[in-house]
Amino acid sequence: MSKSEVKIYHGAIVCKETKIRGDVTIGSMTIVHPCATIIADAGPIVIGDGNIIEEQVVIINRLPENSQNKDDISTLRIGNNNVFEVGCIVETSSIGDNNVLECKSYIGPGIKLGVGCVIGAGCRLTLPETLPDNTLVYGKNCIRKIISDKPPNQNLQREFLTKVLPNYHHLKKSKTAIMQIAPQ
Amino acid sequence: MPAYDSMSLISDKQCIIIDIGYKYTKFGFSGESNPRCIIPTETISSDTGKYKIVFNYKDTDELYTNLVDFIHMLFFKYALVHPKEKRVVIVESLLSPSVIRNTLASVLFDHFEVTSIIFLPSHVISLYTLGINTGLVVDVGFQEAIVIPIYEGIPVLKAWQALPLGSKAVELALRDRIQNKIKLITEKGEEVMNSFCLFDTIVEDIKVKSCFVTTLERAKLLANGKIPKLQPPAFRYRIDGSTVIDIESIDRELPFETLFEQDNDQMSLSTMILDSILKCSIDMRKQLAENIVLLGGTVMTKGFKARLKEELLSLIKQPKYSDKLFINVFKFHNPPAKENYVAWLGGSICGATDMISMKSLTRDTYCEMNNNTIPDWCSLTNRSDSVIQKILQL
Amino acid sequence: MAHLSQQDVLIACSCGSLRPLIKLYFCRHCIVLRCGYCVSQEVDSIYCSNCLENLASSEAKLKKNRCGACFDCPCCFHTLTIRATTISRINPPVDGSPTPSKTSVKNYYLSCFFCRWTSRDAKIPDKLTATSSNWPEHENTYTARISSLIEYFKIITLRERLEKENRMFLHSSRRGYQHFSEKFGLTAMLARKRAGLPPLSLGRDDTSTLPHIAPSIASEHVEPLPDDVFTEAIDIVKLTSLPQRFGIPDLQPELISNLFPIHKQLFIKRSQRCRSCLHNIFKPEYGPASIKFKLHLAAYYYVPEIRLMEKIKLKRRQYTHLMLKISNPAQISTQIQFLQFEDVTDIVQNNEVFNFEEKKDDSIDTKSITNLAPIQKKTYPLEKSRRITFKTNGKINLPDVIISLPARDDTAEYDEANDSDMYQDNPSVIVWRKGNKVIVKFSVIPNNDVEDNEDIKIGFIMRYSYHGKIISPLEQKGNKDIRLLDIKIFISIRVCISPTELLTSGNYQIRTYLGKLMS
Repeated sequence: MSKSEVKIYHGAIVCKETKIRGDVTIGSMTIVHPCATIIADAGPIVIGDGNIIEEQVVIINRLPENSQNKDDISTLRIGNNNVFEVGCIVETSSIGDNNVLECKSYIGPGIKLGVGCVIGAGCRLTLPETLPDNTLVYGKNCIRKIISDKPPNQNLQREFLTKVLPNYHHLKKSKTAIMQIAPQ
Repeated sequence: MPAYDSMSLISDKQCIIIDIGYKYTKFGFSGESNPRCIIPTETISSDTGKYKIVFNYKDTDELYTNLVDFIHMLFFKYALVHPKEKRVVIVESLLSPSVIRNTLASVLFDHFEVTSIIFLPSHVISLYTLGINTGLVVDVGFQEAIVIPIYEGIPVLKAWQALPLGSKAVELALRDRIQNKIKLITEKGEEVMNSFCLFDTIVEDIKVKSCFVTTLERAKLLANGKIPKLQPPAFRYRIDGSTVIDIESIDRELPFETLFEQDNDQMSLSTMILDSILKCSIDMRKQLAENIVLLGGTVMTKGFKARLKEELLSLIKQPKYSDKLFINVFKFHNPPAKENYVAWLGGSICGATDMISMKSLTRDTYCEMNNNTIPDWCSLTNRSDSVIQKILQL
Repeated sequence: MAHLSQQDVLIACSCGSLRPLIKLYFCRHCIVLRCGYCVSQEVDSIYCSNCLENLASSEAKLKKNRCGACFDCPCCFHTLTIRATTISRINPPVDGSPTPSKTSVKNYYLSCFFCRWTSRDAKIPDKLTATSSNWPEHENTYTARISSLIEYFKIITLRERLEKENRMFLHSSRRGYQHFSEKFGLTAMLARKRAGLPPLSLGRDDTSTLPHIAPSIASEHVEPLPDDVFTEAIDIVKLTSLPQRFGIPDLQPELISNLFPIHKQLFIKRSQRCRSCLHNIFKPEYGPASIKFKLHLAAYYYVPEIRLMEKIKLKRRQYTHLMLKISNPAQISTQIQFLQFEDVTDIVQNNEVFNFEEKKDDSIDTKSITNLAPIQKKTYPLEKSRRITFKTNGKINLPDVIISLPARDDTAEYDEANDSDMYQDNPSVIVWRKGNKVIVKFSVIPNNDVEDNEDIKIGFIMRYSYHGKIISPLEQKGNKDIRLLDIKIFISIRVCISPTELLTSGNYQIRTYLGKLMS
């Protein structure tokens, strides 16, 4: 585990137990729970500001199995204010802003999320495509819909976690004094 | 005073109107203008706990238990009444097999102990919704299309036409076209072709959402293997998060051609109508052609009525009919309901009248009948039949 | 193995249905098993499953069996919730104050938490109060036309009826003043009154009294195929599916945006009644919030329970041991014996004797019968019982013993003492005993013609002693009312598939699942 590559911006809460591997950047005000896993094998993972990454979440930038070319580096970019609920697995290459990935959902490689999408609990998406903004995927058969309502604001939850998590967990220190605006 | 008793019965208690279709059942109370629910004719078996299509049966016993489970659901999930005190109106096709009718009567009387049942012919009572008594009733349902002319309230039984041309045939055609186009993409990104997950509900959903009946002009081009200039847009249908079907534009217009293509005997939906008119006596024909009533869920498809009219007008010019039929106008009625529950609405109107107390088969009579068989519609030995015909004369 | 509902052991009900024990009832008066199929079901109370409001049946009828306050999502059929938003509105500057004032207003709308449908999607305006009523309702546009049709046909059938009665009247020889009132009076007048029409002249058939109705006029014009089918790209996401359309039968909208909230369908509590003795055998408490029963004669309080102890692998032409755990749920000890079907031929007759005996109890329930049929209670033949469709394909060897099982004692669970010494058990038959439970060893052999992957099905009869001590308060019988009851038991032994067979079956999900398990 090459910890040196983990960049944590100011104000982010990343617990020490969190498994992080590879070149990972975590933006400010983002909260990463202790049992989350972030693995950047194929290329860097850049997580923006104000995301909540809950327990058992796996975010992987995985090497494509059939590609022999190890130099083929792609960055997994995650925007701002996304919520990754318990147990969801993300293998995609790009996630925009204000998305909600509900519990135990799965986003396979090649699926790009736009802005304001909701992936319902337990939905498994493997078909590579770009979801249009405000798409909702719900139910057993991953029914799609365009929603008009914005996902609820997570500010309160984030503030609460910012207060509570440091009381019970050791945090990973934000690296030196990178105080600039987070990437993206 | 038995008359008084039955009068109070109908006014206080609405009867239950059930129109059991092969695929969907319409259910509601008499006197209401739309059914309470339209539900698939499926039930959860009380023995195995699995979904079961009611009319998928091996023997009468199985049909009996299926119907018990299904009607139990209707009574206790939707009607919320105690069946014992209820009068039931069954809307059924004139051509419905007697085994279904007898089993249904046995289920309602023996198991649910209802007060009375009346069977009403769907074609005849559909005219009730229009306030007319003569018309050519075309019912295109799931399983089959049935054409029966009704003249002065009496079905002209010798002129009936029936062919297995319904949504089922359309769905089969659509399934044939799309079942090799299913793509499943696994978590590893592999693309697998499979067709095992193509359930009937998916085919039905694709049909409902995207298919339409094309115009006669285009149909002729397509039949000759030509492709018209303008194509309906193709699209991608998602079965779930990992499986898709790419629906081509031709898949959207061709499936419904099954209904209009002439088969080996040169029969199609449109010839059925003309043949039926042809079998009626000459003085009835014009009136029937100008009073066509379309029923059944299938006729609700986009472009269906327009195509049917085009087909009729073009067929009438062909030598097969032009020598015998001198009709050049076809007129269609617009019932005050969606086409898929017109027959039910007819039942609802009948159920609100005195007819129920006069014509119903009561449980007492049923138990006295020695063979527990409901008399057939065309049975001349049955007195009540002639009474029904009388009542239908407006 | 410890499933509450074991589907492996089925019991034949008196009507012939095969059910697991937990789905059976036991009529204490007929002393037979009953199941959901052979009892008469009654609607007890009607309630809304969301707000738990209890409705009288007339009220429910008025509301068309739907709750006035709760709604279902028209899109996914989940319950809708009321959601509040705060909208700040800038008021135009009032005279005197230079700056525009800001007020925040709370708005309420319906929203589905599952598919995120909102009443705003249906263009229903938000409401200013949180009360759940007064959402806009829609009306069937044809209601007026249909009710005029109904009125018309009512009069037609009424006249038909009068005509018929006239004919009968003419044929009948007795003519008297009172018959006139019977003939013309009540029925016709009542019908007119109900129809809201002026009283009918008592004169005979005259066409002028027929209400006028405009028959539908057929037209040559039919809906053409819309041209945009060929030009507009199809947006599958915005189209409704058939269940969504049928949720609103009179509109059946094609677009998701035309859906509107559906009033929630009401639910019922049912009570069950034995068909032959008309006693209640199952009655829930009236209130919708209560999950208790006033009366609950479930078979698992009365019939010894049989459970499979372990999964076994059967071999061809070879006896395999089968362990069955038998427990006595009753408060009185019982004696159990096992018999082959061939040994007992008069099971059905047995039950009929019981039915016959109990007929005298009918008087108890006349109260509930009388309000159904004011004239007199007719007796109808009971429904035919069903054929048992369970085909056995194996043979079970039954131990020739009588097992006595003590009554159920909940405290015995915590009692460490081994009481098996009290019974002189044959250890080759009774493997284990504690409290009211024993494990009995049987042996099973499949028939020779059994296929490889077929489940092995066996059946036998359990004869046990039933102490009908508490029959009914009216029956002053002695306490020692012991009967032997025969219960038909059917067991299917699932054929186990080894994990390697699963791996080759090509089912991807199972494969990955197993892969995870092994890693």
